[in-house]
Amino acid sequence: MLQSVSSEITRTRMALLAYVARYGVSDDAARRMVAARLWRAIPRGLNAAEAIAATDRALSLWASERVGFPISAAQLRLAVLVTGADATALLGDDVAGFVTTISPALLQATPTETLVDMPVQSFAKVSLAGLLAPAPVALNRAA
Amino acid sequence: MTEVSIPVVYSFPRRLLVFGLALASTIGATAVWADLLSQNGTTVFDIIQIALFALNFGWVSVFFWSSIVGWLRVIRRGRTPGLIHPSKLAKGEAAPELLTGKPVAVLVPVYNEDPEAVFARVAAMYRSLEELNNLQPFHFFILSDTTDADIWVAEEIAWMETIRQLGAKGRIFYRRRFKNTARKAGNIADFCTRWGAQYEHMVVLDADSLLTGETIIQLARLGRLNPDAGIIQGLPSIVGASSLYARTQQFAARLYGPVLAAGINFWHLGDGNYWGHNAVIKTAFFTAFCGLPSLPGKPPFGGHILSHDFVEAALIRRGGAKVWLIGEIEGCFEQMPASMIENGKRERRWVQGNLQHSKLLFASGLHPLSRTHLFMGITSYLAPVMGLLFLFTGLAAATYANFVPPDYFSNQRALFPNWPVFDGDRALSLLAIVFVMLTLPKLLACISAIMYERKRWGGAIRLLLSVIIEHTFTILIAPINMLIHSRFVFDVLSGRDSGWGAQNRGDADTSWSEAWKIHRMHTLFGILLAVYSYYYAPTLFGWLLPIAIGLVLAMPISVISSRAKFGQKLRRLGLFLIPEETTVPPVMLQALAIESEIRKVMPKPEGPFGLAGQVLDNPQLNALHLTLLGEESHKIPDQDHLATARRKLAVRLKGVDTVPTLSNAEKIALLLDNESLSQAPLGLRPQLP
Repeated sequence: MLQSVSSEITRTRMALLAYVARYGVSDDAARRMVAARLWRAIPRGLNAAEAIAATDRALSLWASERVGFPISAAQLRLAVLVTGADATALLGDDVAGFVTTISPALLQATPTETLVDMPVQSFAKVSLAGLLAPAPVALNRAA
Repeated sequence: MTEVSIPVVYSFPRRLLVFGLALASTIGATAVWADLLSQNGTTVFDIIQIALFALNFGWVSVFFWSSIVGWLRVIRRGRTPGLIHPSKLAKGEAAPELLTGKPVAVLVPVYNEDPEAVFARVAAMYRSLEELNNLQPFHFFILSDTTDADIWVAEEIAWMETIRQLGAKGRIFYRRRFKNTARKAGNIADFCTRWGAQYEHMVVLDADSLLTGETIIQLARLGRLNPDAGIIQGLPSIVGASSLYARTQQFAARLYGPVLAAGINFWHLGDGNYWGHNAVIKTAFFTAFCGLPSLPGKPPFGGHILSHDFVEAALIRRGGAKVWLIGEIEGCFEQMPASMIENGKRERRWVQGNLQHSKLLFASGLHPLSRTHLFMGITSYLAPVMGLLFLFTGLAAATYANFVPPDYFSNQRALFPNWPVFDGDRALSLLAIVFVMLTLPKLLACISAIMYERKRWGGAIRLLLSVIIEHTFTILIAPINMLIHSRFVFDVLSGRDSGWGAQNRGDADTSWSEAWKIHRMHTLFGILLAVYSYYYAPTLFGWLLPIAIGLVLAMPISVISSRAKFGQKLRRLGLFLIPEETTVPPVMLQALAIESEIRKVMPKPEGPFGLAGQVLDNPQLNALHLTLLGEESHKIPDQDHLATARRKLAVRLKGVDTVPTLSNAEKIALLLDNESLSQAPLGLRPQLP
């Protein structure tokens, strides 16, 4: 039992190290430091997959608070990679500077949605006499 | 902004003029034809022939008289009446109509297209607007319905690269639908319901559309200045053709298109038609009136409406908004298939789509002219069948006359026997009239081009020579197209569905084996036609020879006309030149330059996982894909394919040499699976679903 818990912790740590590496942190010491910080930010007792999902959520929340609108962990990661920003700044004091650096690269795939209905039209048939009837004027429906 | 009042334009006299002339010509020609056929008595074949002649001649007449009135407008350089046209902008002046109000959406629906080319065209249009200082009112949307996993990933990369190159964050958007319900119509409808409310107008393009900034601005301004216009359609010009076939079509569309467009606009006015792209549409009208139902029954006649554009025009007109075609707008470019066979694939869908409209001809509330558009669409694809029937009945009548001896001595007392007569001179005169009706619009278009812009067409002599060659080529391929289209109509009527294939718009040389497969029956038909008429209907042999020659040569015509090298040779000789080739518009040059830039950074879909493998391995692509997946992450991929994909992914994670290849469906499942994409790159093996 203990052995399996220990191996799961090792797996989680390895996954977190790989996770940090994917933010472009290449230095081993820095990677370990950031991974440890993330490890502390997520609940205990999670398996590796759950820990990564929890880290994603935590980072997403953290970044959303900083930039003022909801962003995902993937969005944050893309912005860091595109700008070449130093992800270890996550640990430092100049978080505002870090956010300023990555903000222009926070890509928005689509604008916010404004849902409207698109009514399905009817093609009910008319008699032959009705074929030449003028089209109804109904522009006000769409105004 | 200079606003002018719209002069009242009455549509009835215009329609009376064109249809009156067409009707009068048809009645006159049919009377002559009937007289010719009945000189030796009337058989059932003759009656069928007369009816078919009237239908075919009527069809030609409408287009002939439309072209004549169109030409008169073109040479007077007239603008479409009944619309408020925008004033000319000074260089760098922002369009005043677009400074206030909601932005304009430029929509680019794509379906398994070449992503580099699509995004390069978007970037070129974007830059063109930027250079004109009119970028501010426009947002671009690439609306993807792509089902090929590698192309999907490539689109995402091309999108990011385009944003990066242009600094266009928040101006160029990308969305891929999880399910491409109702094809292109559903794609646009999806935009309308999710973002349409934020845009007063949308400029709808096709995947291969390229518009100059001036044209996009002009369309948007026309939309703003004419609030009762639901759709304002620009006239697309074909560009970028290499093969002989595509170049002749490109030349013909560019030279004759504006004349015909001006002609049909003469009598359509605000009751016009929509061709599905290169048009500005009032979003609120489209959303309110153009929600398409699925037709009852199975394809080809039931199901989703394939040729949705005609129906959308009819519906928006039914709602009370106007539909305009503006032939004088230049700067709308698109491409076309390079060969007869590739073009045939596209035509197959159009045949099905137009025949499907037969279910809508009697739909309630449609404007009579909308019904006319639907009817003309249907008959345009039935015309080849009518032509074929005309041919068969002519053969039957001639065979009958050949085998049944004439009745020289009737029961009535007469001094002389009844010699069978055939008034060859009148028949030739009638043929000459038909020939003139088919040729004169082309010559008139050629004359106006020589009058106003001969240099842009490579000079008067070359232009005239091009028209003659194009006309000859059209005559040669007409019987092949007649058989191809007749086959398509037969396919649709017998219940075969066309499906939804992506278009090949690039060079695609037809191989001899492909030509043999497609055209062997055409060649056989041509040989049989010539032999049969020679022995059994000798009076028709000479008349049928041009048809037989075209059919017998179907294979070499198809192969040779698909080859880019022949097309390019003619181009070097200055034949089939169009104005966009003598002076290439900057937007086209820019599109080509950007395309090569994007291609440099595009990864190749290599290995068993294709570009899905790169999404796993490359942190930036992984982050990009997961970012764009955002909205789709809650969609559940196909569980069977996902299970297989995860099993293969597990093998890949082991690092063994032989990794099984993913099928396209498995790649799609994997690319939709947030869990696999997030965890596998970290060395974590996703659980089997």
